[in-house]
Amino acid sequence: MPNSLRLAALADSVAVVGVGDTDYAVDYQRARDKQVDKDAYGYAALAFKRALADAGVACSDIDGLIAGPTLAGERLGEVLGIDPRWSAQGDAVNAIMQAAIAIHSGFAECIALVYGNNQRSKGTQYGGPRADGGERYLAYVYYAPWGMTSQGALYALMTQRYMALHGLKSENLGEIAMAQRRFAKMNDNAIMRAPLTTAEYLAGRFICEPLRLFDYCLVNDGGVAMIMTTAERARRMAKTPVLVSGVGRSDINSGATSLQPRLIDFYHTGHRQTAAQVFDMAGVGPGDIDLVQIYDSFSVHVLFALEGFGYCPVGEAGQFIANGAIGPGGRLPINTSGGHLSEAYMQGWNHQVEIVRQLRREAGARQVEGARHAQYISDVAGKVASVIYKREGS
Amino acid sequence: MTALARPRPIMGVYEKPFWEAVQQRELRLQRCRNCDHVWYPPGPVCPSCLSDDWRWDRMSGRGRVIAWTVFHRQYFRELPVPYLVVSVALEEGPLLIANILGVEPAAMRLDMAVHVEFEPARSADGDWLIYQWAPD
Repeated sequence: MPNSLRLAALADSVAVVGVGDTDYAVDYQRARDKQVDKDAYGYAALAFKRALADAGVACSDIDGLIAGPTLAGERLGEVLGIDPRWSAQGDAVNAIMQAAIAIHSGFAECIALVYGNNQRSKGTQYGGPRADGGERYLAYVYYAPWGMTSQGALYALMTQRYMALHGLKSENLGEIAMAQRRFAKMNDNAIMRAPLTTAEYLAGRFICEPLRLFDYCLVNDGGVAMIMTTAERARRMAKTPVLVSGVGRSDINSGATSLQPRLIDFYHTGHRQTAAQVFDMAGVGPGDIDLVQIYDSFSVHVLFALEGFGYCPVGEAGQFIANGAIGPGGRLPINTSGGHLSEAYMQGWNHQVEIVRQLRREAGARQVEGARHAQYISDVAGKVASVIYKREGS
Repeated sequence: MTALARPRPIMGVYEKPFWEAVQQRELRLQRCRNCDHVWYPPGPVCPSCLSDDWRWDRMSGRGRVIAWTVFHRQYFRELPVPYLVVSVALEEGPLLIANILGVEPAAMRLDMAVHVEFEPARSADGDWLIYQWAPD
């Protein structure tokens, strides 16, 4: 069982002090025009340089390096000229957790977390005979004889069952894509910025019914980097530190390939265990959170996460998100950069950048007024994880 | 019935007996002799008690619809869209995926009673049988 005394010592002891990202919208057009001039490491390097500049630290200050899942650690270090004293590899949320653990325990003091992905120009497939991720998640490839493939189809099954159980309608589901698009309109770096109406959402073609085009994330090239260090050092730096206040994790593996925890439980067991840990460690509850970023490879992640993390009762997420409640000016702003649906699909990494900008009050037109606490939630394949960030001094 | 072209299933050590039974028009899953647990997909030990003392037990083939989706995007060259994919909970417990025979998407209902049927399939290396759902 997690040890809450030890976790309490980790709370607020590590901060994010620098963020960098690449030019998603520009690069999306370049990829479409076959004018790409970078590979995954090229995007990673640009994001890293921007993160260093944002933090005001030199490359020689970096003593820990975490490579995102699409990069090889050695090559990343070679490209960036970093020979770290500590290194790891992980997806967005695990990279942050590993960095927090390493800094808190003294393995390193200033860690760069670096992600780069040229999935669009490289033609990464998320379904079919060459579906990405099948070596890690058997369900992604196991049902090919029946034509069952792609993560979107797995979420379509969940959505269909949810609709049958709770009476959710397509128009209602469309609120998620529409709310995130309204945020994206206020983000110059978002790929999809044109307004999206209910009629346009419903006119979007089905990919795997009941999910339509606008329920699916983008597939684009880009990179993200973050610099993390001790809270003490962060307080001596120029920008307002963003503290890692709580972390929680719960991996649901039992029955994963049969889809049992997905279809019967909507991963709520993992959500609840993670929520209990992250809220306890951060010393806050859902009512204290000013904005939430949810890993949204598909719109419906938002519904299941809201219910599982206690923002609303099970079966009521459809009502919760209605009437713009999760959009600009709503009672719980979600995916305020536009998320994976409208800003960029950086596999959870761009969500961290947005949280840092919001808590530093650097988010411009889409700034959530007075934001102090922000929560990140991901539940990819039932590996539920969450981080609560706090603006220093809150 | 004409055999439809399909991708072959993953055929590991534990899938082999499972698919050999399907070729005999039987749906068999591993049942633990120690704790009576039945699981899917096939694997080395009982996930409930870690016993490797299990047998290939013939299933009733009856179950209830848990969820479904209609594919509108084509992912496999040999499988034209649209087609239905349905998750069914067997009476014995495990959830299994297959297509459903003779049901239009609009007629799909949660908890609909279905049973297993066997349908000819074709791949580059020969003909085989696949299991499918059919409404009771």
